[in-house]
Amino acid sequence: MLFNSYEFLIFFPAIVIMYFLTPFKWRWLLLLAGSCYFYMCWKPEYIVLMMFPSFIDYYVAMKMSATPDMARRKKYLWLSLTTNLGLLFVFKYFNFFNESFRALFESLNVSYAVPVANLLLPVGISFYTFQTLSYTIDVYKGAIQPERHLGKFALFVTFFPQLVAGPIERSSNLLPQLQSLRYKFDAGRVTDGLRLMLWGFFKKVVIADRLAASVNLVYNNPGEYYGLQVVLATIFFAFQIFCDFSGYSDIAIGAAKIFGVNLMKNFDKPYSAQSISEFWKRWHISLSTWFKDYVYIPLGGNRAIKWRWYYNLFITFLISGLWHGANWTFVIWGALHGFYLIFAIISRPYKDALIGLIGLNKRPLALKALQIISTFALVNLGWLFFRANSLADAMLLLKNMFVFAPLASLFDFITPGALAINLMLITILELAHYLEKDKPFMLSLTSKPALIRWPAYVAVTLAILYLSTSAGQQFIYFQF
Amino acid sequence: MKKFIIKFALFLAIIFTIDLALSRLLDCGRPVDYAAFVDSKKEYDNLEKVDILFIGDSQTADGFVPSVFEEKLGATAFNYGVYQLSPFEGYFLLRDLLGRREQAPKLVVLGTDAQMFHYHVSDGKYSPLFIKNPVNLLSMFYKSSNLGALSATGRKKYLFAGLIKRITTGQAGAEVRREVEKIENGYLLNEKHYADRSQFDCEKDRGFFSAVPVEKQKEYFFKTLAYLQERQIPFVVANLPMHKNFLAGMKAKPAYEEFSAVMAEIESSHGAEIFNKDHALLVNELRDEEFLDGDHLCYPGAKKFSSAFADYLAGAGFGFNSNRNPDPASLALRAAF
Repeated sequence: MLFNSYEFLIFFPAIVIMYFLTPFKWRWLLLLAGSCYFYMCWKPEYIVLMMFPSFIDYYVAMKMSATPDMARRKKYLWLSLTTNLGLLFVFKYFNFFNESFRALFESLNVSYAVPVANLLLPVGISFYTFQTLSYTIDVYKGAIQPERHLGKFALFVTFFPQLVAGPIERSSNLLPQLQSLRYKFDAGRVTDGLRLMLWGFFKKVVIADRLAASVNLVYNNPGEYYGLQVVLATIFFAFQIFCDFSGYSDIAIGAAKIFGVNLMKNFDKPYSAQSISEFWKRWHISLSTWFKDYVYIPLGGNRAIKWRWYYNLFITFLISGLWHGANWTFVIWGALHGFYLIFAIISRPYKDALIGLIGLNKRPLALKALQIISTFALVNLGWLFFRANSLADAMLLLKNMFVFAPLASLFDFITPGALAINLMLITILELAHYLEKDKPFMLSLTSKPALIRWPAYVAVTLAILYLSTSAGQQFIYFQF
Repeated sequence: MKKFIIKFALFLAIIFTIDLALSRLLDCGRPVDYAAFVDSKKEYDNLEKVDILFIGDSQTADGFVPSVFEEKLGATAFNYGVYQLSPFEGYFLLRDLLGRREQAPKLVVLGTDAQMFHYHVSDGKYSPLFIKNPVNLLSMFYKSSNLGALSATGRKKYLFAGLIKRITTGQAGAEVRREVEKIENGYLLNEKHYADRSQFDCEKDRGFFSAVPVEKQKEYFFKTLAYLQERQIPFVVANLPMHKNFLAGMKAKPAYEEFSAVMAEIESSHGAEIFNKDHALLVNELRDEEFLDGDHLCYPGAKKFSSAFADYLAGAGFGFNSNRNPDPASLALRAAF
């Protein structure tokens, strides 16, 4: 079930009402049933695919906690890793590697007969796999105690607000909250949840879906657009993917808040980052911290010789790219970010010297603006690979980006009015980011008088009603 | 909790009130010919009898000239083809029109075209003419679409119909689709309509239609056929002509193949005969200037096509004289439906 679906409009209020009418001790069961229904609306049989590794993880965690013998614990950990990553490989990566090997063998004139597997990618598999993996790894390390209640553990895996596109929660944050669920109706918390959801819907159905129309036109016809057209479509995609994914996160966090559950922050104004390393502290925080904790640091992190450190960074981002999708475009995207970070480390002394030389260090505002713009430009180059339908398309778009096209050619793929609306929406978004302090924009409004608050809520609701597009798009991160 | 519920209800009431207030802008945002369709319906209500009722989208609206059927068959024909009418909307239009008269027409002609199942659910600027109860729209969206599409549909069909489009396309004033000189039994006549040869390319509507067939549109077309059968009203499914260049391009598209498959399904499941099934009728006889664009006829072309269709009906044994029952010969054809 999609958050932006008609079904969700009925499902969500119904489950919220039932939740507050259900005695505390049975709420886990209601949420578990609701979460299973939410997932099964997509493809009922695939619930088994999610539950099977969950049972293995439950069993493995119990066994690990029962033995202090690290060698035995490691065997159980391997069982969990093999099951989870094995399923992820089969459903998400098998065809990708299979086709890559086929191309390689064919180029060497060697026959290759492994058939293509006709498997549908289970929605959210990368998200729930990583969430349960972090659980078993934490139990293995002794960082947390295992959850002994099978039902509540199943709810930890399936909790519907964050099931299919995150935030990827840590068991240390989510499990304790799901254990009790002893929350009485709190109007303030419910209202905050609704505010976040409203803002999330605005970002998704108004901004992201509107921008998608122009982006799709260019990226699905890469040979037909040049220069500024490609540049503008790529910038639009940067805001589209941000609004799409952070919109989903806002809805997820808001929905969970209504049930009294606090999910982790997933985005923090990523396009105001002054460096790529800062960008990754602000973008998809739940995933980047996951990679830091479970890949980068175990590889040795930055506490190693220089080359090993670079290697650790590069490998982490390469895997992060592959996590997003079984396509070379994502691998290149990940590799590009790994390269950016390594290059930033290597070039830091030269960059500092250059800043001093041209006197930018005496103009902090100009320096900040330059850093934000250059970071945004680098991120956009990555988005070009991320969004392109194939590596060949990405290269063509990259080439076409440097072919001159007059300013008026912009209007070949977007009307002046639509361009004005899109730019206005992006401005509103950035203005909201500017106005928010330590809380998301909608929550920061709570301290304002009703005369400001209410018109803002009404305006956002009306924008959803009047500015949303008919060609509703699925959330981009569902495919991951 | 009480305070929360009151506040929430108040919020919804504000949204609803603003929405309602904005809907008063509806008429000024409608295309100029919206009023013509309103008048046309009044004409339909006032007619003494309707023997043949044409329903379909713009191809139908432009393609059947009722006066030709009067001349050739002595039948009172009424054309309620509406621009951008999707099969979903057509179902409600048919129910509305049949419900307005005691006597059912002797024949309903469902005009079809190759892209009719590719209409986006949210398109259709004339919907309030026949979907009186917007709740009906929900059936279109259940298990098929999303919140964005639902709100966009509500907006396009019931609110700000032309306003947003005017902002985004820069068009001033209400959208002019066809200027109307006079209405003749539903046919919006304008003899000054002329051919736009640049529009003979079948890519002219690129981006307007959905890339893949919309299942709900098919579902509602079959529902329309079932409804007619249930009420035992004879019907004919008629393909409207296309310009030969347009037809050649269209035939190369998957949409044409999919459309042909649906037509074949109609033939096999409903035993219905499709008029101009392969779109070959008059393909070489219709001249460029008899087309408005690649898939719409202008008045002279429509007269030619209507004449051919009238001949077909006569040949099939349909009789429409006075109030008498259809000719026995036509019963054979009807039995097939």
